[in-house]
Amino acid sequence: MQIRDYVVVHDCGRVINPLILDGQIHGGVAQGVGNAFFEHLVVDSAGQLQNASFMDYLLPTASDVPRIRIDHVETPAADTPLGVKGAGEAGCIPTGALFAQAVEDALGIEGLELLEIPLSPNRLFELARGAREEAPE
Amino acid sequence: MKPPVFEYHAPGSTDEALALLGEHAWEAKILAGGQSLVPAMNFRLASPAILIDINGVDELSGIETAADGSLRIGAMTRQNVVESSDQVRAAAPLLHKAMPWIAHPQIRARGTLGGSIAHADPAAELPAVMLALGAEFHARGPSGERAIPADEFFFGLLMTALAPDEMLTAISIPAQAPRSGTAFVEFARRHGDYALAGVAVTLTLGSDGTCESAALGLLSVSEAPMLAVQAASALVGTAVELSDAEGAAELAAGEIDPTGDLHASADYRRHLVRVLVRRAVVEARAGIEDRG
Repeated sequence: MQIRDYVVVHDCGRVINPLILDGQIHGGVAQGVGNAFFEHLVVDSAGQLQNASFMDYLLPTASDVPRIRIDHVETPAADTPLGVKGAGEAGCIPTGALFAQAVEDALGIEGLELLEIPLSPNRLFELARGAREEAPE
Repeated sequence: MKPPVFEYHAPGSTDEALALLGEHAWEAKILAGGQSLVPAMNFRLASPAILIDINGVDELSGIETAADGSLRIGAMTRQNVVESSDQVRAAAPLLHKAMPWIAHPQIRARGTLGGSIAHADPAAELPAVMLALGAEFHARGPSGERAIPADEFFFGLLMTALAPDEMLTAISIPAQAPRSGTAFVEFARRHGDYALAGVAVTLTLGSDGTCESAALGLLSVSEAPMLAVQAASALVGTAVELSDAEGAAELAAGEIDPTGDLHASADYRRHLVRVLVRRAVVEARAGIEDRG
């Protein structure tokens, strides 16, 4: 899988420090990529964590995070003195859902609706196979 | 985490290393690049009483090209040296292609060719590549040197034909035959992770343009690195068209004995082998220069 492009249009009210703001968004998207594809705590029936190391609990590395294009819409907040809003989390909030939709679109399998993350290759294989088996001939 | 207490030896020659190994055999482990052994010790999955560090044995490193074009590579040759070697690129393109898939550059700067082979991790790239190359391993022990063909070397999970008092000293790789093509493909969650499955292929065409010999080394799909023997022999005699590649892929998927883990079920590994063998065979065939 390759992430071909990633565009963020972001509204945190009045932009005060553009460089720090872009950094916040980059970090948020990187976390979002982790949520979307990798991060998953596996616990067995006795409550024992099965992937308690970074060899098995996967986080995205630099090669997994795409270049990110950013634009801002400034809608000043009415209730804060500078018209600012928070900017820390927006980068990671939509990421899982939008990658689920992008993967659905890329696979183009009728009846395949991705309603969960992370989208691990193994899980996608199962879901895709399930959708194909249920598809009417 | 820190490893349990161990005794450390740093011999300066192969003879000295072998003497230590002869004395301590079952209790001792040879420390090559340490990229698998040291983490295993730190996690306390391995607790050798004695470490014999052969990093100071210079005679175990180096790449030589023989008159017939074949390579002899010292067991302690660092993986990044193999990766950037023009001799390796010329004589064994498959090995050259596979090197960047091994872990990360930092690990290849320390990890050695022989260390990875002797460790015999079924998920590692080098054992499967050695099988596809028809390599031969040189081992030394108390009764002298012997050569072990790659397909008689890997027995099971981390198990090899090496006796406890023997050490791997060098690897011989035949020069790639004319009218041959190779490919290495693998699939991992992230680049540098252990692959969920992988395939190394060598194909050689005869003068009539059909496949004269084929070898397919598979990783991460069995207890040990393995050759897909049925898939390879099914390719022999064919023109290696897409349908032949598909047939070989189907056979390979039936030959493996995968287990499931956190990242891939046995079923999914079988599916991956089907896809990867097809791709690798097609790529290897496309890479053959038709000089005929």
